[in-house]
Amino acid sequence: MIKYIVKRMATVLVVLWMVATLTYFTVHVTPGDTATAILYSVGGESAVNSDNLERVRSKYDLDRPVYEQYFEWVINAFKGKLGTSYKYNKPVAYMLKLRVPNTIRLGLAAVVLSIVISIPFGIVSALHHNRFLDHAGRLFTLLISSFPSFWVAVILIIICALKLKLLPVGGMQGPQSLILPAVTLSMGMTAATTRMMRSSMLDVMGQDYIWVCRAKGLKWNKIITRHMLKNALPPIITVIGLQIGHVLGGAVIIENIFSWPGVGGLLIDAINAKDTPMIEGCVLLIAFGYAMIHLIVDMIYACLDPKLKYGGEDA
Amino acid sequence: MEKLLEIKNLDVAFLMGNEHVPVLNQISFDIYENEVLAIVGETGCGKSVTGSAILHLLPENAVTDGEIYYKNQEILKLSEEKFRKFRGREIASVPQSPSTSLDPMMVVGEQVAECVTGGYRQKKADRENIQTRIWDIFSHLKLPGERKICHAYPCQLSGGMSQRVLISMGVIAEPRLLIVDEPTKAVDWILRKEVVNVLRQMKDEMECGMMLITHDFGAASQIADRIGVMYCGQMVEIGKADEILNKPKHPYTKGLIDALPSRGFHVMEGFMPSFSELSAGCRFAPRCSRCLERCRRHIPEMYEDGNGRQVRCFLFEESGVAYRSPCIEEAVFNA
Repeated sequence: MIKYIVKRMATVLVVLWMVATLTYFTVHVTPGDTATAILYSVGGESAVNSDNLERVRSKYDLDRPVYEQYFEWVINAFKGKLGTSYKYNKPVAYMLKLRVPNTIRLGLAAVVLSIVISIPFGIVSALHHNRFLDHAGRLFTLLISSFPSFWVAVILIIICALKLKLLPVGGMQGPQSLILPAVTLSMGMTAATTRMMRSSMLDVMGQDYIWVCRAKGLKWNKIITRHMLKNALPPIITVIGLQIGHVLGGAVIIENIFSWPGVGGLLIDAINAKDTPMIEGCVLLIAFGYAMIHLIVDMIYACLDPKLKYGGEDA
Repeated sequence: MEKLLEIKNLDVAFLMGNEHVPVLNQISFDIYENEVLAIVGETGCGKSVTGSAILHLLPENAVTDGEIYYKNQEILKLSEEKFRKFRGREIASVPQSPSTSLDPMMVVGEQVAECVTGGYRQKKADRENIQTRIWDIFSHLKLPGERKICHAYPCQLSGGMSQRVLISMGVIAEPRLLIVDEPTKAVDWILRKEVVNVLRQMKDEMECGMMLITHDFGAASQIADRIGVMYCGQMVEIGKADEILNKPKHPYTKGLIDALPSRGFHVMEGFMPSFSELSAGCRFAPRCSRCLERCRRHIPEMYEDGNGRQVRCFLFEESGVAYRSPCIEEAVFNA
């Protein structure tokens, strides 16, 4: 197991390096001068003059060739130094430390919400296969997965915040301001997980061993809890893992709409300012989170599935 | 001997779209206490459907008609909740395909114990009791390392071991009737011999009726007291095992026995027709070498010779009287 984790961590490192490199050069080839963007984002149009430009360029070594800047950044990153944000003039790590807990809070709320909704929904849908509840459930998941999240966010703000005045429009003032962004963020994941849970349950229900359980004289609810759920769960865990990745990506947009002070907002700001160290920091963090979730999913999978646990190397 | 199970004119049809496809037609037979009845026939002739019908475990699109009596109590029309109490305890089954019949996520000991506990938590003493019984049965069935196997997952067992775990599941609650479905289907020659031995041993030791569903005449002949031969959803011949084997009457039974490697390997011509395109007369007529003109137009009845031997063939009309009412197959399904 430890060998496996070490091997996986090495792959994660390579992936992170590739992500960082790609991001670095993508930011560089986007049109616009970095120094101008920094000055513009800090002091507006009036701040952009040749004097200031010169100072910014020399301060952040922007006048050196890109590859030199890149190698320096990579070497520092390997040492754990993510550099200083151009825009905020503060260490990237410090900025991330401020924002990460908020993103985790939002992401966790969305994931928990969607699991709490989707798993029972999927089970009920499967147990009522081709009957009213199943059709209703499928229609519901189709609807919520077809609405773009930014549109839902706006509609929710209009209804819940502006018209009914039940919840705050945005920002982070107490737990109630978590509700709207979490609901919006969880929708895509809820739909995907519900559908997966349903099809996974249906698949299990058709298996021979369920027939055998019935032949043993087990009660239907015992068959569901002792046999069906256990067998339907592993694919769900994979889907949840994948969906958490999407939630991380979706958070970038949702955080902006709801002015949620998370990593997503930070990333968008950094992109606008061509704040390369900040962008790199955010992207690396998101990529790292994604890779870790996949690793955890695989480990849970290995613990759950006896075939992987006892089946030997090739299983 | 007391009748344990009595099936009278059992019809089963599957609803496919708007059509009823008849699968079982006028199946009638009895199983007595302490008797092994083998149901033999080609794949797809409706043997397993008969077993599932007894257990109320047909798919949702199945329509059944007829009567099934278990210890003189009608069970076919019982509600799911009432019949559930029969499953496992009174009528148990040993399913076919051992590789897919065990829950891959549960240790096998637990799966066997479930047959007794119903999945409910037991007191410590009861748990230990059940555990000992499982060890007993496992060692009886010669499962190596019976204590360790209780904690093994199905993926850690070989086909033969899984088969024996399934047999243990069938017998642990000491049912009165055991339906064993294709025990020799997915096993190699050596294992087949072992399975046959286990079943013979069970027959001697357990005092219960057994319905052995198989396409393996050899296995049937070694275990069964009586053999019923099914063709295309109908029982075509039923009688004592040695009589069926040595003096088959129905041309189909004859064909099956002649096709055995030990009897010359003379393969029958033709194939079993599909259930949705059955002809008007005897279902075996298109393949029958002794087919008469009337065979193509009328369905023969079950004729009995007085010694419990029944044959569904016009050739034996004179030898006995009609055993059951004539089967007019359209009557049920077109109603």
